[in-house]
Amino acid sequence: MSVLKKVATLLIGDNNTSSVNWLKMPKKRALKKLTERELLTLESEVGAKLFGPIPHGHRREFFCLDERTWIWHEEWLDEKRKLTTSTVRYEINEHGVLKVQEGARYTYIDGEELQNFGIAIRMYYEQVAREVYSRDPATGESLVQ
Amino acid sequence: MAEQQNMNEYYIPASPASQEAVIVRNPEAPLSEAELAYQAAMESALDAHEADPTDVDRRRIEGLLGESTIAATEITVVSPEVSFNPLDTGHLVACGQRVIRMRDIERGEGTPIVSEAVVQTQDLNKGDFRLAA
Repeated sequence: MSVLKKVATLLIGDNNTSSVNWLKMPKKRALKKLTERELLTLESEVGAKLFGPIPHGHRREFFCLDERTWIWHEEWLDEKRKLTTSTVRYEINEHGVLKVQEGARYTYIDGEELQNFGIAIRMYYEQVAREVYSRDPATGESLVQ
Repeated sequence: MAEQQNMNEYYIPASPASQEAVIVRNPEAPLSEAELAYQAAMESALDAHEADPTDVDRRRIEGLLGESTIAATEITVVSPEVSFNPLDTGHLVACGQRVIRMRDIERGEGTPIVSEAVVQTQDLNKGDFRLAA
């Protein structure tokens, strides 16, 4: 047995080519359509990363609920190991962006917060288009031939 | 007296002496493909939620189905935007519409939006939404 074959055997365990078949993707796998919830979960994974690193022990969600509603949700364990959550609903209407928080607090965001929210929305669209739907965000055309 | 110019429109003179006319859609004119697709999707979605008039899904369908279904049956290409203004609510809504359109197409072109308990609502007034587990 040549040195090369010995190395290959050590690496893949067997010099029989059939043993590496598990590495190949099945060509006839069924393509299952994802549900709305599954797609939202995938989108949210992209959305959660738009605002920088997520602190250790935190879980964050940011997603587009419908064309005018965006949801931010974050939860973490506080120093007493109690689960703490924060949820914000952003509603876009003709007057601006209404921020709805716990305790029935309603405020229209402005200034830097509005600017950051707008940029986040745009980045969400661009990144979700490419990473979740494999579409060119500029044209909407599929990137997969 | 109304004159029928083609199958889809009536031209009704505004007054007996006037040359101006009011255009009225012929109610017997055949619907376009997009209108037929919308109508079929709406009927099918509403059938599924016929029993309960307080059904949240039904209200959602009635409010949102038309726009998104017709969008999904249209060509998927979105015209490029010249510039994006993060302070312009119209631009923000446009981004949301494009996300929803991509989501609809991914789920199946022309599939009616029927909520799958996407979000778990604790208290609407507290803004407590999260993705259902």
